Amino acid sequence: MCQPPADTARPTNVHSHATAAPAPIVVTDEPATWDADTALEQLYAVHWRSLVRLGVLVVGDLAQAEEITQDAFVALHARWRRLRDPDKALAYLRQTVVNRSRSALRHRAVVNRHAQATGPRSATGIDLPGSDEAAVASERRARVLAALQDLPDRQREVMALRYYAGLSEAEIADALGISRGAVKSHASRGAAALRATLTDYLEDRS
Amino acid sequence: MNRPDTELDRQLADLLHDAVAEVEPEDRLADVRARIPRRATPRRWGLVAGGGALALAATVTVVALTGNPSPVTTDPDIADEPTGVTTAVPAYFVGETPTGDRLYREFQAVQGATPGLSGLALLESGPTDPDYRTLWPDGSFEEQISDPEAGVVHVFLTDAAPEEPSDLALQQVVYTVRAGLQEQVEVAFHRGETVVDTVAAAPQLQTLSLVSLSDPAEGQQVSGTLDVKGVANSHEATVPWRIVKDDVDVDASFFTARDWMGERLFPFEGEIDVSSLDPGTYTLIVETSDPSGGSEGFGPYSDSRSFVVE
Repeated sequence: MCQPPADTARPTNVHSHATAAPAPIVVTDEPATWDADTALEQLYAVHWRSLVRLGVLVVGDLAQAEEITQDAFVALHARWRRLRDPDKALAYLRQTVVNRSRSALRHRAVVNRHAQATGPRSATGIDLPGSDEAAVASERRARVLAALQDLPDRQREVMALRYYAGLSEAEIADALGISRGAVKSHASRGAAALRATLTDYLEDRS
Repeated sequence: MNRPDTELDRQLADLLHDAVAEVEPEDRLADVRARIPRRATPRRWGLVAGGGALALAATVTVVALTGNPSPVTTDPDIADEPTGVTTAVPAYFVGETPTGDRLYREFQAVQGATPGLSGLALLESGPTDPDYRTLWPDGSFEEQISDPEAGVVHVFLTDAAPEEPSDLALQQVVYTVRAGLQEQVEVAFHRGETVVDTVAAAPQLQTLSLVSLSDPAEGQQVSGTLDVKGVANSHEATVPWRIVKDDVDVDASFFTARDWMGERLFPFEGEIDVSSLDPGTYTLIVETSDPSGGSEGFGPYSDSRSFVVE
């Protein structure tokens, strides 16, 4: 179940990875020669789904993650000429999704005090089927997302970038604009907190 | 940390991937495209907002810079004209500091200003404080398209703009746009149909003068009390001030800013009793506190304003 996230794929491999794309897109040029529109299409095709999923891990809500990721792609279009590189563009998209998720959460914290307990929908906004196996999976997913939401902002961001996006310590430091030492500290605290709350789903092999 | 390096790491990575494995977002590429600003034909200075705006998504605000707003006016006959309310519009101008050129914030009273959107015109018309200058000649900006939801403001440059604006010139625009909109946006600079640069705000403490006056305005007439406002990041929040007439200090004390340290400037304000001063022109100087007395570092940052005691 631990697939490498789709966003590790390079846009030149877009044909086989473009599962979220509306239509196959044929790459004919080197990325450095892409104009902003082409870059947007290519990067959207490869990264849209995995970036929304990253957003769901941080913000805990599908609709909001879609909004935030959409914003990130609009911002990317304006910035493409400066980036001119799919790897840098992906780093920028991730950074934008995570930073905007943090702002969105702050905004929502105020709104949500009046709107808690909204029923049996899962935290991702997806209604899952009712069979036992599906129910178990559904509960597990909801509890993982809830455990992430219970972490302080930085720890949650580091957890998502480390375990979902597979970023290195240095890459996380760049994305969040914090020191590597701070990343290390958030990573160890976040992992310890998740280990405590998700103990039902973790096998102790130490 | 590139690869999960312990059993716990591996299991947590599995759990996080699994948690979103069934999340299938809607295809939103069309929505993204619809929000990207496009202009059908190159347009020149002087166009009124309208036609172009119709082609854009509803969240986007278009403002064509139709002319220079008037600088500070205290003339009640003008201010009371029904053409519009006078608004204090923030703009950032360049001035010298002990660490080289930095930005100072100046408020100018603009009649009929579009809230949050008149700052660029002020960058063209220039500062009222003679110690400041602008890096953008008249006619540099053609149009500003704001898309705060995407965190981007698009600024269209004309041929009158510097060919290769310095970093400080770009920051002049970024800081002015952000102050006007009260949004933490980036600025995408366009020339014609091309985005030439997209710039985020540089850190305040490396970009701004560490002390900057908002009030009084340059040349303001006062009687009785001088109201002073500004922002600073100064040692122990102390902002020393003095009033100078013909190179002689006639009064001095200090303000206390709301905070210090941190990564930004903090507001300070106070009143100075000037009722005992003879009529005439004086200069108010505020500085950052320099506990070393100039023996260490670069020496204090400062800002000044002339004012007239009636």
